[in-house]
Amino acid sequence: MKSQDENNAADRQLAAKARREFDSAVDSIDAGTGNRLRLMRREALAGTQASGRGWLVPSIAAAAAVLAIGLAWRQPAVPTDSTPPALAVDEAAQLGFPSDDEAELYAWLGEAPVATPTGDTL
Amino acid sequence: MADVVGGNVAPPAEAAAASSPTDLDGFLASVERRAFRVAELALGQREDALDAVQDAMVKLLRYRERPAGEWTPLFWSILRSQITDRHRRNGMRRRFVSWFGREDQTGEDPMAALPDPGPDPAHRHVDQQTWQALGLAVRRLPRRQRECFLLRELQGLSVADTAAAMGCSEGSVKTHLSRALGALRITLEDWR
Repeated sequence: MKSQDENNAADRQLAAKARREFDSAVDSIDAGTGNRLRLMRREALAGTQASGRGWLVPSIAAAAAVLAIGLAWRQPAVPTDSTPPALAVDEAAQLGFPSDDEAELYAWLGEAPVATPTGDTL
Repeated sequence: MADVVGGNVAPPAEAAAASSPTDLDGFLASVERRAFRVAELALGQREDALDAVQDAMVKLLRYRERPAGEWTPLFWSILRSQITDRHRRNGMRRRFVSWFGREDQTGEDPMAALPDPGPDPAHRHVDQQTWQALGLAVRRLPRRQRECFLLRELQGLSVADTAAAMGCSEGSVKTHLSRALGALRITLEDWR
């Protein structure tokens, strides 16, 4: 059973050796890996520069949409072919619609009192 | 233990903190190689390690407006999170593969296949064995102990920066590190 001091000393020794090995491994990184790391860094930095201008695309799209809506709003309403034309008087008569005189007659009949069999009027 | 854990001897990265670069390109250039080795030790896979470092670089750029002094704990915190995510993903993949009765690899450590050029073949062989033994031992540590050892001892972050990167108190950093060193002392008995 080792004492606490011996363990501490062993830990210090172990940590120092691990650090030496690690530093040595960092220094001995092969050229291919080093180049890949450099490339990755450049790509990452280039990505943020590109994303810095990324707001331009949505801004242009939004401006175009607003412009299109504005133009549509200012356009005068043009009747379309789907609106049915008003019927000519002759055509109305042919279809059986009442004329103005007949309409007055029907209105008077509607308001006139109606006699009942008992002699009362409604 | 306090000498090791408490950080009476400033690790190299801590000592160099005073001359930290003030632009992101310079900062990333100063940490990318160490970040790769940390990720490689933790994950045991070169490609995974490179992916983790790349994602950490991209994510750090979201914080480019922060003061340069905050970049160090931020970057290592992001990298730590990337490593943890990949650990989980790899664990799930291994379980998925074993579920269908196919063994993942041959059980050999993938780091054994890594190129690690040294000054001469004999020295290179010893270096490679030492590095592999360290990697295996580190990956056997519980996650928090492993993170603490990598950040505090190998990367050389201060106790405060390690705590910030790990999202825990400085006291927890000391506890995790003490346990990590105790475990490594046993695992790497022949290594010293």
